[in-house]
Amino acid sequence: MKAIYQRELRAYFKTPVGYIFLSAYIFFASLLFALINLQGQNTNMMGFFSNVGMVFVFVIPVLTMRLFSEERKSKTDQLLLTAPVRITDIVFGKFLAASTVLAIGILATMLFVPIMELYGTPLIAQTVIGYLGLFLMGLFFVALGMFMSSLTESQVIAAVSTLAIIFFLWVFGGLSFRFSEIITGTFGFLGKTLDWLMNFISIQNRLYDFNLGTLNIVPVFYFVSLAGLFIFLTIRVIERRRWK
Amino acid sequence: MVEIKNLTKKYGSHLAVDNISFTVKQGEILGFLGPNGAGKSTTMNILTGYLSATSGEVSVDGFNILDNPVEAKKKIGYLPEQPPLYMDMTVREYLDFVYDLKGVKEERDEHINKICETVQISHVADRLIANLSKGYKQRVGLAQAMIGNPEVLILDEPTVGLDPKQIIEIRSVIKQLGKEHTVILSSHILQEVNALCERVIIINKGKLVASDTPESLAKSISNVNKFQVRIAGEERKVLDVLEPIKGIKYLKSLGRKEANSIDFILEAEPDTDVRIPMFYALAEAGLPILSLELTELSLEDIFLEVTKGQGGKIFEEVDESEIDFVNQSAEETEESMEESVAEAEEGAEQ
Repeated sequence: MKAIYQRELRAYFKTPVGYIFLSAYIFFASLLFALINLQGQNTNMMGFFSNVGMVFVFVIPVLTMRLFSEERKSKTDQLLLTAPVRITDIVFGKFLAASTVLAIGILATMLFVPIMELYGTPLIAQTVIGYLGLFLMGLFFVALGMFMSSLTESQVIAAVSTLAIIFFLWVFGGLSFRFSEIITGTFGFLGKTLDWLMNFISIQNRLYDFNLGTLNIVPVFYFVSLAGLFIFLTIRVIERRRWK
Repeated sequence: MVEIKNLTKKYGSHLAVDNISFTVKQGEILGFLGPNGAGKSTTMNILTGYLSATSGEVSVDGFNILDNPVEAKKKIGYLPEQPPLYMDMTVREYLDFVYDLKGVKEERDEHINKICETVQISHVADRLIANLSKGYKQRVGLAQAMIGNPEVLILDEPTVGLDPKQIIEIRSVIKQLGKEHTVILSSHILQEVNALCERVIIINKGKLVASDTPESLAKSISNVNKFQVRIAGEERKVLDVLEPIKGIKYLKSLGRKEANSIDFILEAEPDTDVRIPMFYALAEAGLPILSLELTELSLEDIFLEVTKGQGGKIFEEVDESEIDFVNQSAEETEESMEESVAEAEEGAEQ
């Protein structure tokens, strides 16, 4: 697992992928921070967190698209799968490498806290928990993207399908988050059911729990278990392929 | 060392490997021969645990590849048809990665350096794999398979796409490796298997059609009886001279390929060498032979012959003379190849 983790991590920074991901993420996160917190003269980062998720929708696919697609296309998967390592180790190695790059990005944007320190009194604990929520949500997206990458040889298809799914999850839940009253008011019982469903699926609701500064077991479990589910599915897909 | 029992692989409804069984003894070099699409790569992919068989069993040194994959894979070094190289790494980085991946216990630098020397890639160790030529990529692939000193080496068409000089070099490396390792090597070139292997297995359309030593496949190489000959002179005159010669079974004009000469295709009765009587007869008639070439019969042709109509005739039933052509011509090709390489090297030295 260690060998795969190291190779994968190095590959992120030997190819443009790691730099594209980090620069895009840090640029847009900084933009949001500048608009919401600096220009808004606000030390509460709730607004930042609920918007920066949208940046994730677009940058995570870049991070995950090559994980398995490229191996299959260049046939290097033959090396990994015939080496004396377990498939679980291969999948975890890759997942952890992508998560490390994600963590680097998030740590870099944590510099916003000392910046705010210069002008006011940021809510340290709440902000740190917010970042933790962001990271856990990122882990789920990474696992999802890795899963999509294991399904196809094409990096483009992997990226686009990951983007589409994350976007759907984000917007679908987001509708309920913002327009709950309108939906239930307009469509009656059906609307209520829909609203419940949207709330249930909603990523934004889970993230919101963190943004409030509360560390609940439910949203932590939500993200971690979803990440685990997609890691498991990736292992299954790769195992299954041998039997085709 | 390697044991394969009733191996069958289906891709949907397509039967890629059909009930193949064989064993490979320790220290043996086994050639795996078959035309393209015969199921060689599929079998090798199953042997190495990359694919799983639909039914049947594979065990390496007693470890079943399905029940005990990690132990079985430790014994195997695999060079797939397309070497599994990461283009964004240098040769050394890549071999270091493979070393870590396989969890090799031997001393790192010594082990990797030794392999680099064996396959002669030490001087490109710091170059990016993406920038290497096809021949060097193939060598790096071979080096990768050798890391960890696995007892069994499985090499899928190791010389495909290489130039003649590289082919000879890679072959000598494989021959060296065969002294310490069990080697299974696939090829669709009869000559290659002939030169390297102690035992040959031939498969076609997923079925095992023969298992024998190359020697018995190459029985009576001197029995030459089909060639193409170019003779200066008029077609009618030549035919008049050749037709009375005893032992010529088949004679056909191919028309003019060079000014003032005619090409003929000529087949003799088995166990008859008509070249000498032909030479004297033509010389007497004042019709010089400009060239005389053995007709090459490809392995695919043999298989067409073997499987014609019956789909499963065994290899031994093929007209033996046809196999001999291949061997004969293959040997000649290799000889001439080695000569030309030697010449090229001399030229380079001067």
